[in-house]
Amino acid sequence: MSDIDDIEIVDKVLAGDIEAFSGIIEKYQNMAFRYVFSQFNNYDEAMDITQDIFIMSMEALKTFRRESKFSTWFYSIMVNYCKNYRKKARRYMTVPINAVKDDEDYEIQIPDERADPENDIVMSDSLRIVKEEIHNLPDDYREVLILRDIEGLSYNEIAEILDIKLSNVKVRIHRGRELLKNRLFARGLV
Amino acid sequence: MSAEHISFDKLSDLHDDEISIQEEKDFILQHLEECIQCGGEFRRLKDTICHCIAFRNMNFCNENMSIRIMKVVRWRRRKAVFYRALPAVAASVIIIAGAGIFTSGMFNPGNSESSDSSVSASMYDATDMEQVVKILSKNNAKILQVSDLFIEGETTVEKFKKLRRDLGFRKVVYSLTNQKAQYRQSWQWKNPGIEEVGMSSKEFASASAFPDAREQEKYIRFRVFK
Repeated sequence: MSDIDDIEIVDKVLAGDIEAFSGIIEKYQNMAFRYVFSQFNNYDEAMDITQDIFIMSMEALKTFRRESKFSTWFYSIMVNYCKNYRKKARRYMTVPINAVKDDEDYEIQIPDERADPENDIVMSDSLRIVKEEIHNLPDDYREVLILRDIEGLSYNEIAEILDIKLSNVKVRIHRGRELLKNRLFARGLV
Repeated sequence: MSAEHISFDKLSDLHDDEISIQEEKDFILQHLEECIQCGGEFRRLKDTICHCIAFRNMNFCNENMSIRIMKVVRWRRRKAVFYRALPAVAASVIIIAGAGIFTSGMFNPGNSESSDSSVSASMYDATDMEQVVKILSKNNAKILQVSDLFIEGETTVEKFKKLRRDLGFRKVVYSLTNQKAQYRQSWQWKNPGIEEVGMSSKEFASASAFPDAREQEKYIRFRVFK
């Protein structure tokens, strides 16, 4: 589906046909979930955030001025939402329930309704290590690496989405790649 | 990495084909063939990026995601429509409730001097006629006839003065008579009578309205119209 198709869907949604928005969801859901999941490394949280991103973008469709591609506009909303969510999450830090105080473990077993959450995402060990290491990168490096090496966006698109200079994008990509390469090397993956 | 080796930035640029100068590109490629250390570094970089690309090909989301999001979107849309309509619904309820309270007689305009409002009088005919009956009873006037259009009654000239004042804005037609209704065989409105509408408290109706009224004509027969 090209950008023209995206704009056709946007026009339909703005004309009142909200069902047409499912076309946008189908197209971008994997990409959005991949980005969010790499950022937060929690399946359920990532599902909720992805859902919020789509709802937010649908409600903000009127603000899409068509000066850039729809995908770029959507990425910007997604990136900013994740940034704000992370800020909020840092403000309300959570503590694991089994590490309450005085080295006493208060392990509460909450049954997981899914058979095996991790297997919902069929993932090999090497991919699991890559996911962990990407998640452990500093925020600035992680977001450019996801957009560049996972989503395959151009340097210019990344600069537009993150609203930073092109030179800055390059620097972050180089440093992020170097850091990731060293960490994967240390874990025997490269 | 020593100065003789290629920097990581350059290797990264080479991978992304971001080196625009052909001579520089050729030099780096040649160096990578000769230098084991730089060649290994470049290979590790490519492996790292390959792992990231493998991540791209994974299908994370289940098919329910789209359905789930659309369900929420529809629900939010319905909620938004409800909240947009809420002020109008609230206003309608207030108007209907207000009208109900008003027509129930809790705020009847006929009770006070300030009840000159012809608008409220015309709106609430039924309640108004009840008020007229009350006023007539209070002034000891005799009610002779009640119809859809008027209430007919009789009283003395002296009492009519106060009665007329109490009736306020209402249209009243009256005429002098010398006998009580019970003694008359057949009485008819002689003249069209005297018609008054919208009388204020300062004006008053009395026998003076009949300059040629004789001594024995001391009763007034009247009709109070809706």
